Amino acid sequence: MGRKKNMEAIVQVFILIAIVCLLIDAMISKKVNYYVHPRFYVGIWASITVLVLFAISLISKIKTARHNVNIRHYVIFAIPLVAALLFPATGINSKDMTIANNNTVASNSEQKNPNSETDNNTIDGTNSDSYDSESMTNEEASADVTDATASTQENEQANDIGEETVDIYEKYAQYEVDGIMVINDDIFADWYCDVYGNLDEFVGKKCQYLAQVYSMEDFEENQFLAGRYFMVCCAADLVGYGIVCESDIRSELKDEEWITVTGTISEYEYSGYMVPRLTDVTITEGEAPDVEYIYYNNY
Amino acid sequence: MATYIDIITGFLESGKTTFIKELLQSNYLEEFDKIILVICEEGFSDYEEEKPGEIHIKTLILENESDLNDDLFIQIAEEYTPDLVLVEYNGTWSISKILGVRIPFEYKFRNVVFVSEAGNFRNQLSNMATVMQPHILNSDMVIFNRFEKLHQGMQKKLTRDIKNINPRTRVTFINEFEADKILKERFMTFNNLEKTSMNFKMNLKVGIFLAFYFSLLLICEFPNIYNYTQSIVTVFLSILMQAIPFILLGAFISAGIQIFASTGWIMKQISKGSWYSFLIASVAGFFMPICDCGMVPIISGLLKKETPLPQTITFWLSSSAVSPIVIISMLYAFPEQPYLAVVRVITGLMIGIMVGVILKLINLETKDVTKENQRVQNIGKDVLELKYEGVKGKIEAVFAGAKVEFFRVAEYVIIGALISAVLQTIMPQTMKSFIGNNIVVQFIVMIAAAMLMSTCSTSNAFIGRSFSNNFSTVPILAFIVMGPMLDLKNMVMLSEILKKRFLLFLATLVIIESTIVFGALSFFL
Repeated sequence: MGRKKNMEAIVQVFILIAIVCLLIDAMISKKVNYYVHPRFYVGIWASITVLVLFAISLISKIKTARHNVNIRHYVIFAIPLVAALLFPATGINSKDMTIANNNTVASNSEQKNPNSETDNNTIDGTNSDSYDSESMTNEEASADVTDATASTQENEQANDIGEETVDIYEKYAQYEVDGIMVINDDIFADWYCDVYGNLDEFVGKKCQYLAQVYSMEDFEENQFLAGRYFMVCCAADLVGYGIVCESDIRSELKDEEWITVTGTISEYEYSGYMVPRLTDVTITEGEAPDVEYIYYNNY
Repeated sequence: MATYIDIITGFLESGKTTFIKELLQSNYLEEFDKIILVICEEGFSDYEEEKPGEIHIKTLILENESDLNDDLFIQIAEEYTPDLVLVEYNGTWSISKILGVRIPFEYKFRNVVFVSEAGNFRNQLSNMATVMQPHILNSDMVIFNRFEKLHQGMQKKLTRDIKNINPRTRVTFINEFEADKILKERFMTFNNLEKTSMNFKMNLKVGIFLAFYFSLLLICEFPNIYNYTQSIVTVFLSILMQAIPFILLGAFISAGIQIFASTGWIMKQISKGSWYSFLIASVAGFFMPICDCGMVPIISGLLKKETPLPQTITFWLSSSAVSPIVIISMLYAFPEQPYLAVVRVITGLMIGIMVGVILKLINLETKDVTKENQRVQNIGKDVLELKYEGVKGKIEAVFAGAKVEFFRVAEYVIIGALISAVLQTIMPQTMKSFIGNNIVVQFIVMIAAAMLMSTCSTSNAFIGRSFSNNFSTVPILAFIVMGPMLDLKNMVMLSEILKKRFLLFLATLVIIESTIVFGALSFFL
């Protein structure tokens, strides 16, 4: 004996439950950090609640038998569900980093302009906090187009800086331990931008931060990039940034290895731009943090 | 062998009995030996001596809805072992009642046929929508009879009414019973069987092909393919994850407005037709924070009420720029450039007002551009089966409406997110730098994307955002602002009421103006 059910409701309940499970899993296992900025936590928990309520309200509808329902268009919901199951966001392993590389560092070097990474950083520095520059970064050579843009922003920025100059370095004084600025992940983004924007003030200061090792094609033998991935909003805008380091033990470092780097900031000319560089570098083994990325905190 | 159950439903005097008689006399049922007729009301003709000869027909009459219980079909199976059960169903009973009763395993609901008298249909639909809609919603085909007196074009309208409720059902006006294609398809068992097995084979083929393709890719094409796919997936999921809260928020507000708010005041303002009304029309969208696909029915409704065209179009174009949800989503998507939210509002308003003013200047009026005799129905969402009444019922309705809205919108967002994730991950580097060099090319690409990607205004900020590695700000803004205005899906929806030529003109106008607006903007941003 059988009984006709409401297939549509069944499919919807299934989809909702699957979405809820994946979201809860992502939230609890902290995998969500690979996808979106922490400011979405509240929204995602709220969504989970609502979706659960949807599913509950649908359960009573399953009994209402339906005929000739179109469930084919729900196939589309299988795409994200299957994708999430087949390609889970993996923790810190080489694969994950390769992807990140594809998106940023590697892609830049493929563009036959290996300088881009640092280029961009320079631009980034001059407009501290401005995402705009990031979007420019990967379209380097847009000088003619973005000239107006850049200059406007530089002007604005200059004004800002004029006001702030007095205490831009003081901001980080509180993090000093034994004469070394210890830059933790939560202030890394701000600090990084400030260093690029106000390099003069930081020259000669010692600093320490957690980073990963990246190679750049046009670097010298003893140079590497100590950098992190920055997220503004979600994985779609992940970009890697770093500071040039010079070290004698460069050859012992593997790409994407986590290190704590301590060094003295100095100026360095890189493809026409003045960028910060760490010299006198001490490297200790670092532990991969729970949250791999650096998040911009704008509000 | 399976026993089929065909349900013939419709109101009293709709012609069900006549239809069943014709069916019995036709050659459609030749292959059945034993037919049971279950009649749920007393029709105006009875079936005495209808079918002579070899076929055994037994008639059962159910007088009360309570007779329709779990034992019915089991008893029928035990007593008569028929190979076809024809049910003449009472149109005022709930259709899910019969569909939900227990049936033996070898029994199968084959056809649900809704029969209606063409002349009365619209009247009945507006008076008894909640009774009638479930029947149409569950039907495989809708049959109109006594349509001979209808004037030309009415048939098309009736068909559209039906398709509005259930796009999958077939509509037929029967001229020659035995020659009707749709009837033949639905009632000849062999056709039916062949079709399903063919479908299955097709699906199997597609499945095998896909599996083959993917394994090929995985094994030999690139060793890097896994990484590539994973990076696409990560971007894809991240776009979805941040969009979900906003889709839900939009769904609730949209459903809430449709149930609680009246659009009367806004409509009155827009209908005034003065120059001042452009301003009101352009900001009115703020009070209707619905995503653009939800706006389309409102626009159709306004045009139907013959509101002045320029103001209505201004309202439509600006609505997706001034909506509070859109503004919030912009702030979330571009946290480091909150001014972009303001820019979006301003550009959206400018384009909307400019288009409106131009339409006013060239003196286009609503009746010039709307299709004639349109009857816009927006009942799809009323098919919410509600338990409660009063305030509780309204809350329940908002909740149920939001659920419908969520599933509808999520589909488009998934497609949009997938396209943008694939594009931004595998877009060849050369292409990237080519696009990157030329802001005009970027602009053109983004307009094309705006038309084709069908992203919802409430979440397209995130999709636009995800392009930011490859495109600069102004083209991305163009994509976000113009997305809802040029969206192909919206155009298709609007073409139900507006003439295609006008829509084409409108799209061109929007593109030209946005070129001017964003061209100017690129000097400032």
